[in-house]
Amino acid sequence: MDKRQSKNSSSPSTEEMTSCKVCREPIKVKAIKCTKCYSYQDWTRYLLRWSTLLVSLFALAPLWSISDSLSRLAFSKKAAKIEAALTGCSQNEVRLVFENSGNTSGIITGVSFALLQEGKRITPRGLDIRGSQGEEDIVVSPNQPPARVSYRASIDNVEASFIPESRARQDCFYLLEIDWIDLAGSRQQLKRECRCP
Amino acid sequence: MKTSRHLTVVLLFLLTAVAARTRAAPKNEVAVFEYEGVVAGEASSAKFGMFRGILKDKISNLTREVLQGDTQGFEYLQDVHINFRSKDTFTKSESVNLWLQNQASVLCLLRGTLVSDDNVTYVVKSNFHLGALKEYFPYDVVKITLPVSSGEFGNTQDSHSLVILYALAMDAKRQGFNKSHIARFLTAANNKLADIKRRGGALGDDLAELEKALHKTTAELLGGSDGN
Repeated sequence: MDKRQSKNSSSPSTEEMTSCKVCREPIKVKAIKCTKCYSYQDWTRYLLRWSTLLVSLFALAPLWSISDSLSRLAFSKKAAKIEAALTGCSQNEVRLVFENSGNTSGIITGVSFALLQEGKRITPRGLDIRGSQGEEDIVVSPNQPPARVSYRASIDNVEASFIPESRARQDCFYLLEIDWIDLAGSRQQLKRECRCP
Repeated sequence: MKTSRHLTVVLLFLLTAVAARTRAAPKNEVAVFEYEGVVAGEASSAKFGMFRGILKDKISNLTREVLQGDTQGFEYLQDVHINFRSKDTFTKSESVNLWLQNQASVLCLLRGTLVSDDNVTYVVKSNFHLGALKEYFPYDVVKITLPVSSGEFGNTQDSHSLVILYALAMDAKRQGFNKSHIARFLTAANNKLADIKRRGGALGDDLAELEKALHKTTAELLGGSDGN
């Protein structure tokens, strides 16, 4: 330090001076950094300046997403979107899986059954179709595991077959019509088909 | 001439093959629902169990009787069996008929009541539902009775065996079997009827109607041309 001071004091007039590119204070021409504001005099001074801005932006990002989620919750339209997949069709049982990809619960109010043969729709007479959940409607909530329901046919509480005796097995499809409503009250219907066993 | 004879033989062979392929599947289940008057854990339950055993025994003896060692064409009889179903919840006869239409493999449906005056001697009052197989029988139900006793094991000279035989004959007709095939069941049924008459005298209302239906079917069979 003493050496540097003695060096500076030995030749004060020989050093050429310029002003800092940031604070305009006089500094030596070859100075890398300003002695007053500590700013670099080459291009790296911009990095420092922008990095502060970038860090501020990153800090704002979670705040932004939280406010976005809150605004979606508060202002977006609530609707259920029930989807159904047929996972099994046998003579005595039809299995379905329901999932809700909407943002509010949906309620399955009924499932009706028909046979499709040669393009014609045939509703077997006297069949009572019941789901494994009993008499109650099925509530399918979003972000919940899928609801699995198996349907069976009966006549006067005696188990019956989905395919009546007289029906030929060829060109035969099961048609299930699933009625559901969302909490806003709008009614929808899904149709699913599978080949007769 | 020779060529045309060969062609006829080939044609007949093909027609027989087609007929055999398109023949309807046989009905092989005697569906038995729980009879009224059966109380779990009581003597009636044991008696109903005995009745089920009697029926099972009757079916196996009956098929053996019809086959008489000659099983060709009658192989499906070996699959005839009793299936004990759940509780009888049918509320009306129409539902029973609907159920029978729905069940392709059911030959006949049995429901009824188990009765006893002294809790020792039991009698079953059975209602046989034949569905479309009733043919010339005028009612939906054939009502018959059977004492539940050890003497009924192995005995096929009774009205339950008779109704099952009638159903088998009508099912053979439905399947499109030829005269001699159907006649095997009808002959056995007529023999049983004669035996019941001989032992019991006059037939009850339903058995008298069943006799008429049997005679009508036999006459129709003898009068008509042979099938395939």
